[in-house]
Amino acid sequence: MNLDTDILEKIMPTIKNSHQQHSLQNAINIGFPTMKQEEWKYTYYNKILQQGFSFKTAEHTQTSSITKEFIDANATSSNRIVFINGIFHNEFSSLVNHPKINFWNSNNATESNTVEFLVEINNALSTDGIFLEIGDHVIVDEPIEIFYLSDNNQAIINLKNKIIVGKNAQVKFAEYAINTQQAPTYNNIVTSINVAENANVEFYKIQDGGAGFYSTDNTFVQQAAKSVCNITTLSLSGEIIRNVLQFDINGERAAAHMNGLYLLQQNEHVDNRTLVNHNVANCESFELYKGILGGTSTGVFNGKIVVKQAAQKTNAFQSNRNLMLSNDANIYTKPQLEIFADDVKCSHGATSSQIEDSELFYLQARGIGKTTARGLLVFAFGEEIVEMIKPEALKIRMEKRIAELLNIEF
Amino acid sequence: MNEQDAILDEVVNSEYKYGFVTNIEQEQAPKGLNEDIIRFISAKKEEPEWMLEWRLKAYREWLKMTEPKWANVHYPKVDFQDVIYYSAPKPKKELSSLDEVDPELLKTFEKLGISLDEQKRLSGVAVDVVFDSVSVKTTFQEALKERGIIFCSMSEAIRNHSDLVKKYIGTVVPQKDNFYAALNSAVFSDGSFCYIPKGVRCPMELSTYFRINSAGSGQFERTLLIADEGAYVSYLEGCTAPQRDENQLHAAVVELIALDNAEIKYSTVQNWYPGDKEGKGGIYNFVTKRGICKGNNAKISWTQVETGSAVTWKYPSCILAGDNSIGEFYSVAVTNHYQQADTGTKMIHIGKNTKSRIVSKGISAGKSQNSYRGLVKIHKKAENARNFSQCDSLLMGDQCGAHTFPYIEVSNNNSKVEHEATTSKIGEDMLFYFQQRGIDEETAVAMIVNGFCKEVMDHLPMEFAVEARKLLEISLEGSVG
Repeated sequence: MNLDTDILEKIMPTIKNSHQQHSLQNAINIGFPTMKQEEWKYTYYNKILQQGFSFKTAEHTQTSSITKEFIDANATSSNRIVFINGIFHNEFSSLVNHPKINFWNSNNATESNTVEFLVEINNALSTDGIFLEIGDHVIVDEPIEIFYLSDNNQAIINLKNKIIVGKNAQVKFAEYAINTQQAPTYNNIVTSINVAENANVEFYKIQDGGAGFYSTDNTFVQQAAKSVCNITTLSLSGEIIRNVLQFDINGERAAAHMNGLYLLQQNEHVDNRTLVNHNVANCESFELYKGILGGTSTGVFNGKIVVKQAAQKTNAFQSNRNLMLSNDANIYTKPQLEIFADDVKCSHGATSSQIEDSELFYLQARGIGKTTARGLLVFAFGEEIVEMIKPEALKIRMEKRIAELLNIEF
Repeated sequence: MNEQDAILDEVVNSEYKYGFVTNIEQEQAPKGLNEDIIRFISAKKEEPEWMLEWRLKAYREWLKMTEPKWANVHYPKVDFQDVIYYSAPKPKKELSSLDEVDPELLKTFEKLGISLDEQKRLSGVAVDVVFDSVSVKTTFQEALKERGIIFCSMSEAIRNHSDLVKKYIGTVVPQKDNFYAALNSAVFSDGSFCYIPKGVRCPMELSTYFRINSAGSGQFERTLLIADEGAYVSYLEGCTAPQRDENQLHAAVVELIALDNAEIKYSTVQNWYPGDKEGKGGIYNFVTKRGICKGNNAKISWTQVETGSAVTWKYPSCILAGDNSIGEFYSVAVTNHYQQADTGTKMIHIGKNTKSRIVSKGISAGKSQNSYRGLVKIHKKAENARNFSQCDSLLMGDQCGAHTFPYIEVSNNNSKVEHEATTSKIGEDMLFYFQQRGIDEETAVAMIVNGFCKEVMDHLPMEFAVEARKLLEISLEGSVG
C-alpha cells in the first residue's frame, strides 16, 4: 500500500493554529516514513496505519469507563498525571503541592521545522500535553507517574510534553501506557526534557500496552553542566513500538544514562533508536540495551554516539545485548560511533546469542529443573536492567510483571 | 612551534614517493562513455560477441542507476563523460620475453620496487602488471601452466578460456549489483584471471600490480579468481598512481569463487595517490570486492592495508554459502590530510556452521575521516553460525574523525554474534612508558601503531608485510595526537 499524503491535506482546514498548520505542511512535504529510509529500514510504518487509525485532533466529548480504582491499582505513587484517550483527566490527576512546581496541561505546539515526520505530525495534531516546571532546588520524593490510557479511541493520540527541571532539582518520573479497549490504539508522543545545572532526573518509560498497542515515542533531553539524566525504557508488550531517544549534552561534566529492556513475544516489534550528541568536553554517557526475543518477534536497535570536536575527554560507552529464545526471531542491531575529537574513550559492543548449555547444566547439576533453570537465566539476563530502577515499589512491580510475562514462578 | 606541531608538520609534508609519470606512447579512447566506446573497447580486446553483449547489458543497467549517496564521504560529483575509459601503452609487437618490454616501462617498475626481472629470479612471485588499463606482462606463466594453473590477463582469458570466464563472470558481483560495478562491467579493459584446478596448491604467491599513468583516464580492472575443489591460492594486489591535480577514478571489481574445501587468501596493499596536503587531486577508489564460499569447508580471507586514495569506498565481502565455510577480513585503513575512507566488510552467513571473523583497525590523522561500515547477516538456515568482529580506531590530531557503522542482522537463535569497537588516541601513559625506557617519542608512536596493527599485519604474506609496514611509517611517522 502506498500511502498518500492526501489524507493529511484533508485535515488542514480543521487546524487553526498557524504553527500547527506549518507543521502539518512540513509533514506532508516529508511524507510517510518508508523502509527505503535508513532510519526506517527495519520498521514498516504502514503496518501501524493499516489498523485504521485516523489523523485528527483529540475530541473532548469522548466517554470513558476507566475508574479511579483502576488507576490506584496501577500506580505506585500519589503524584499522578492522567490522560484518557489523549485528553487530560483532572479528577484522576494529583500532584504534590509545592510553590515551585508548576503544572498545567496545555497545547505545547510551537514553531517546528524538523525533518521527522512523526515529530511534525505530533506538533500539528496535539492539543494537549504536560507542561511541568520543577523549580530550582526542589526535590520531589515520590515519583511523578504519567498515565496514557485508552479505552475508547480510534484516533492517533498525539501528546506533546514539555518538562523543565531547575537547578539542583531532583525528580523521578514513571510513564505508563495502557490500553484497555478491544480495538487497537496508537500513541504518538513527543516529550522534551530540559535538565538545568546540577539537576538529577530519572525517567522510566514502561510500555506494556498488550495486544493492539502501537506506539511511536520521541524523547529529547537537553542537559546542562553537571546534570545527571537517566532514562530507562522497558518495552514489555505491544504490537509495534518505536522509541527515539535523543540526548544533547550541552554542559560540561554532565552524565547521561540510557538503559533499555525489550521483552518480545509472538510477532511483536520493537525499534529503539538512541542518539547522544556530546557537544562539550568532559562528559560521560552510558548506554545498555538488552533484548529477550521469542516467537517471531523482531528487535531493532540503532544506537548512535556523536562526539563533536569540542567534546574532548569524553567517555562514551554503549552496549546492546540480545538473547534469542526462538529460532524465528530477528534482531537487527547497529551500534554506531561518530567521533570528531581525539582525546576520548569510546566503545561499543553488540552481541546476539542464546542461553549457554553450560549455564543450564550448572543449574541442572544442582537439582533445578530445566524449565526453571531456563527461566532463571532469562530473568537474570533482564534483571541487569530492572535492578537499576531506583524506586523500590516500581522495581518490585516490574520484576513481578517480567516473571509473569516469561511464565516463571519464584 | 612546539615539538608536537613540528612532528605533525613533518608528517603533513611527507611526500608521495610514487608520484612520477612515465612517458610512454599511449593509445587512448576519446573521452566520454557511450555504446560506441564500449564497442571500441571490446573490439580492441578482440572479444567474442557474448562479451560485448554482456558489457552492453551492464551499460544499459548503469544508465538507469544513480550514484550511491549513503557512504560517509564527500567529494565533488564525478563527471562520467569526462573520463577516458581506455588507455593503453601502444602495442609495438608481441612480447615473448622481458627484454622486449618498453624500457621506459621497465624503469617505472624499478622505481616502484617491482622490477619484473628481479622478481622473476629472486622472490618467486608470479606478477601480472596492469598498466593503466592493460595487462603488460604476466610472469611465470609457464611454470604455472605445468600444474594446470591459469594465471593471465582478463582479456587473454576471455579469448583463450572463454568457457570458464563465461561460466563465472558476474556470478558473484552481477552487472547491476551497484552503480560502480555496473560501470566496471560495461567498460572494464583488463585485469587478472586466475583458475586453480582441483586439488592443486598454488606453489607461489600470485600478484597483480595496478598503476594508473595517463591523465584523465579511469582504471576499471576486473579480477576473477576461481579455486576449484581442494585448491589453495594466495593472491596479492598492489596499486600506485602518479601525482596529479585532478581526481582520477578507479572502479574495480574483484570476484572470488571458492568451491568445496578450497581456500583463497587475497591481500591488498592499496597506495593510490591520496592527493596533496590541501586535499587536491588523488584517486577516487570505488571498488566492489566480493567472494563466495560456494562449496562446503571453503575459506576466503581478505587482508587489506589501505593508505592511499583521496576517497575510498570499498567493502570486501564474503558470502558463506557452503556449510562449514569460513570468511575472514583483516584491515588496516590509514587516512591522513584530507583523505576519506569508508570501508568495511559484509559477512553473509547462509550455510550451517559458518564462521567469520572481522578485525578492522582504522587510523586517522590530519583532517581525514575514517569510517568502518560492516554488515554481519545470519540467515535463518545458517545454524550454529559464529561471528566475531572487532573494530578499533586510533585518532591522531584533533581535527580528524573516526566512525563506525556496524549492521548486525540475526535471524535464528543458535548462532553467536559478537561485535566490539573502541576509539581512543595514543595514551600519554603509553608514551610515558616508552620514553621512560629511553625510546624517543617518534619511535614510540611507530611502535604503538605497529602494535595496534599487528593483528592484521600478521596475516599479510611476507613480501607485503614489509612493504605495508614501511607504508605505515611513511604515512604516520611521528604524528602524536
